[in-house]
Amino acid sequence: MTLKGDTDAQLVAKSLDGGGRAFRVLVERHQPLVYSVARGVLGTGEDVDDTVQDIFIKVFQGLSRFRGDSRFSTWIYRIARNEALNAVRKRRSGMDSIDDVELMAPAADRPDEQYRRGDQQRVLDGYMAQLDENHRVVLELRYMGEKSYNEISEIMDVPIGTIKTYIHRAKQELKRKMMTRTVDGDQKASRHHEV
Amino acid sequence: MKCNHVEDRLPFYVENEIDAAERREIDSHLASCHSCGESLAVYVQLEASLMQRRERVPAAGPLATRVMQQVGYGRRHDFLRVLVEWPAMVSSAFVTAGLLILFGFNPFQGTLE
Repeated sequence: MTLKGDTDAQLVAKSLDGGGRAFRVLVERHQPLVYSVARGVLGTGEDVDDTVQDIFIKVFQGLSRFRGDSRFSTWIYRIARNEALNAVRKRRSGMDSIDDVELMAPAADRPDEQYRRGDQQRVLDGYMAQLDENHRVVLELRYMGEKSYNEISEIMDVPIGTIKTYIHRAKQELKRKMMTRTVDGDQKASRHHEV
Repeated sequence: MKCNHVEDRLPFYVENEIDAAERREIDSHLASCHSCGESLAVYVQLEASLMQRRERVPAAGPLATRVMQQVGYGRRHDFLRVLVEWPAMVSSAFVTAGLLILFGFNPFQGTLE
């Protein structure tokens, strides 16, 4: 008997009845959403995968408290965001000084270094790390989580116009950074040729 | 259409989130504006890079397995199975034996000798 056609509410009910397969389907169904939120809040880092796992454990522990008065995806989004923010605090509490923060920043947060290696995704990671957190989360939900504007609006319980504004501003900022990089790259190449 | 308005609409243009009339106006502007054309090229490159991010989502199966192990679903399932299935199996065995005896076959024949 396949569970993949069940609604979230049906899967929650079966999970609470001890249906392990139902909970597995819930995890697999919402993993892109949770992963996108974790990446949006945390950026890159070895703690992202652990945080995603912790989020689903929290979901399991709180399953009996899901009342159905909001969408399950909205409910899981709130848990994901809170747990990801806890992970950020844990990162910061393990650092003694601002210098440590810079040392611990993954290489993806140093776009120039990655640019030299021509790794476009890591360059993008670095630029995205500099975005406003809401903008970054929405962008990751849209592209990493493959959610439509309507879905993101429902998940985050935010008007669709606001979602479009977030994505618009995020892309404008990323475009500005990309064009600045291109200009800097051209200038460096020009100086190299002069030498 | 002025450059600052076209520039503002380019992200939606690339995502195909504008209507046909607006698309025609922007196309007309792009045909003669080098600066907006350069901006469009960057937005197209950005969109292509963003589209690749879906490939970075890890497979859900291994995560689901780890989560199930962490929350003890396997162990709880086994316990429930023992609690529910074993009595049912034992009852079925007795019913089967009773039916066999009823129809003249003694499953215990030879064991008491």
